[in-house]
Amino acid sequence: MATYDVTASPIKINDVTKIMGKISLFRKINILSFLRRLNSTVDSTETEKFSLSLKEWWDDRKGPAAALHSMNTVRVPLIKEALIGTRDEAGELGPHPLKGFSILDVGCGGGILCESLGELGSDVLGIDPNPVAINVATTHLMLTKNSSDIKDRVKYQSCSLEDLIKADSEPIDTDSSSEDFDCVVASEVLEHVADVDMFVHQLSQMAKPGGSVVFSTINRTIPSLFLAKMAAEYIFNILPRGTHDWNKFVTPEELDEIVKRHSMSTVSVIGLGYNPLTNVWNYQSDTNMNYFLHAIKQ
Amino acid sequence: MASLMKLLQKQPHSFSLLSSTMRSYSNEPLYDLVIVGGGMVGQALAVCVGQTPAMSNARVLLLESSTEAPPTTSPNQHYSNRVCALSLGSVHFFKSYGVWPLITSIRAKPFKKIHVWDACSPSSIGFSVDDLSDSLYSISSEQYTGQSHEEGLSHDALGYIVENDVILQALSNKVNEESNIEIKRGVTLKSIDHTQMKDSINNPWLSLPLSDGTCISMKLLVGADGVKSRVRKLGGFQDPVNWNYDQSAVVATLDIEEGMSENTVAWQRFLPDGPIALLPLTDDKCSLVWSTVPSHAEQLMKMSPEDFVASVNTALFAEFPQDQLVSSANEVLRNAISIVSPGSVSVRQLPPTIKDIEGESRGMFPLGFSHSPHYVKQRIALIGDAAHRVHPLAGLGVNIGLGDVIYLHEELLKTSTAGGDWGNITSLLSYERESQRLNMPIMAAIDGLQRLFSTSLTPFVALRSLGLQLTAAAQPIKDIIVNYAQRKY
Ligand SMILES: Cc1cc2nc3c(=O)[nH]c(=O)nc-3n(C[C@H](O)[C@H](O)[C@H](O)COP(=O)(O)OP(=O)(O)OC[C@H]3O[C@@H](n4cnc5c(N)ncnc54)[C@H](O)[C@@H]3O)c2cc1C
Ligand SMILES: C[S@@+](CC[C@H](N)C(=O)[O-])C[C@H]1O[C@@H](n2cnc3c(N)ncnc32)[C@H](O)[C@@H]1O
Repeated sequence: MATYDVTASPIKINDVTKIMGKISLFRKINILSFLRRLNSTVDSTETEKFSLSLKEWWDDRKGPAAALHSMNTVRVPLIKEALIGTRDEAGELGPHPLKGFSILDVGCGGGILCESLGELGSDVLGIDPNPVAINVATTHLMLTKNSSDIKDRVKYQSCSLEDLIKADSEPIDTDSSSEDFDCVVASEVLEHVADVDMFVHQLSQMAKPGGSVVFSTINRTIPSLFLAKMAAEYIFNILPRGTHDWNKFVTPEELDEIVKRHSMSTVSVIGLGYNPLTNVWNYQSDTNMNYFLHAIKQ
Repeated sequence: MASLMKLLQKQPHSFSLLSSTMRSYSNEPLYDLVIVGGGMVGQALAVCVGQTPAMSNARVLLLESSTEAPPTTSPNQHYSNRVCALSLGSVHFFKSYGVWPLITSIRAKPFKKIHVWDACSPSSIGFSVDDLSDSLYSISSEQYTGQSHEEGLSHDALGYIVENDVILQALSNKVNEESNIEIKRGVTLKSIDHTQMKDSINNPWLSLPLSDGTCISMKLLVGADGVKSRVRKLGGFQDPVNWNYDQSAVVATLDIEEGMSENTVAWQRFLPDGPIALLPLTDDKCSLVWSTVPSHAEQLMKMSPEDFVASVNTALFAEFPQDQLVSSANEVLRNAISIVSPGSVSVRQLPPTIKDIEGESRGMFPLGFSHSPHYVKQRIALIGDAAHRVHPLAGLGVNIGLGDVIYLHEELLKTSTAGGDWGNITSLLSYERESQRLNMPIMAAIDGLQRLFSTSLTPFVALRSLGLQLTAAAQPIKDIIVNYAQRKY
């Protein structure tokens, strides 16, 4: 199968999450664990929001993806640090510091992060359940890269994590293993998935022992409710309304608990600050808004 | 990666979004960076990009419209009349890219003191290495982790006087060493294809037809093509704020009477028609930069060498009529200052006497102030005189241009290490904010200073003589010397 059929969902997950938004988080997690039997982390209303055009995904000046583009300046060095132990801000390691590393970018959208990781020399597989986003990512790669090696290093696939794991468990050769990647990335995705616990479990399955799983997401705090959701969606119109469901946001403490449950340990959490007027991101100790969490698989 | 391979085998490649209107770029060479203008600032950028490991696979093109070969100056050759006063920050920059040894292997003259005085009032101020010790050395030793002391950089000079040609020669030697930098001489851009700006999806790169008939694409175009910048014009930048000072500068290389002490002071006197500066070149040579009204400049250019020398000496030494009011006000102030801080009123030292002028070394050029409101656009950035032009009070202008290079390079490095695109507007805007934050106050101060001192009307003279002038005159110069040394690299 080439694409994950987002319309064929057996149950209206949308309705379930709407109800859940009104229940306390504790109960919400329990209900979500129950939902695991449905065997999907994908909430189709959450993925359909990202059926953006090539122009919308790749406009780094304005529009819904501008902040994701500029976010690369902070998240790429952190992924580098997770893989090679240094952010290499002085650029001393040359143009391809990630050469030889494999990265799985889950929920890659239009490929904004994948292309930059590929530029740094790594082999990247970007997956996303939304086929429109994957088409954008593929098209952009073909359109703008004129060196063929990066086109060979970066691949895209329209599928969910569970599809990938399923495909992986059908052995086609002897050295096949499900613990494939040096680093598994879920950047700005956690806040959109239907079952965080199961999603994290699946991420963990895709990482090599000793490999990294990294997250960037929005914290669930009062400031994030106001700034990230209200201000971004209603006041500044940076994001389309309804982009985020605040109740789905995960705090760093919760995420730390969840990764522990799936044989991983948190090595670092760092806050990411954003200035919407300049579209510039920076590192900060305050994790109230956006944060980046790096976990190692045991 | 079994899963990866398997999934990829299953999915046929289909690029339904590839539109038929999309142009093919494969036949047009794509550069990561095209620098227009091979002056000091443009070449400095080429050198630091060429030497940064993270940028070593970047494809860079330098376009220089002049067909002249780079200058070749030998240590015992005649001095050129175009010189710069390099701040320690600029020297440090050149050191970190290995350019400085090439400069000193030709020649560079350290100066240890700057002496500024006024012709219409008895006020003067000097500052030297010792005066800056607190601010400058605490910072420099912290910033450069003591390196400056080991290398003998900052503790014995405020800066260096270097001929433009020597800097250009050192830079072009370095540029030639970089294998990823291509140079085209005698070539310029004919126009800028703006379709990229309208439709950045189907035309992601900037496209330039060149005067040699070829056409190239690039991720970032940098205009380092001087004050009349063609990149600025063709790029559709808003016109720079500019005005002429109604002044011209006359430059020359002068022979001086050898004094008892070594020649290590940069002198500057404010005359009613503009400042005159003497910058040390050797123990018996100085470089002159004399700003004055254009008609006077013309005269200076035409007069005999003997008359020229006499004029310069008069400008440096003559007592100008000092207003009675001003003199007495100043007397009061002098007393007040010496009561508050004894020893702060310096005994005025005298500049050297001019003996002769070197052959054909006289030159003249008009002066103006210009500042572009914007330094960047999507995929275009301006640096150096293309972005801003200041009055060459003591030849400090190039330091500001090198500051642009440092900030732009810093942003490009951030982009490179994050695997990004050099032309992205967000990082270019960060360059613009950072460099303007530093440039604007200095440019405003130099401009204000020029206006304050270019008049002999009593209220102004009184104002500049009432103690304010002491700091007012020295501050912009000091700022450039000190602040530019404080920049982080
Ligand atoms: C006549 C003159 C005398 C000066 N004297 C002094 C002085 O004594 N001391 C001092 O500190 N400052 C002086 N300045 C200012 C100082 O030279 C500048 O601040 C400094 O050179 C800035 O360097 P730049 O590289 O930005 O520009 P420039 O030095 O002007 O270099 C621009 C370069 O771009 C090239 N170019 C121009 N147009 C194009 C084009 N369309 N295509 C390709 N290439 C192009 C030019 O040939 C040149 O090599 C003087 C300026 C002028 C014009
Ligand atoms: C905000 S975008 C982030 C895109 C990309 N990671 C980036 O940072 O540039 C969120 C993406 O997550 C995808 N997504 C939503 N739910 C998902 C799930 N359960 N599993 C994988 N991806 C999901 C969406 O389709 C969307 O493309």
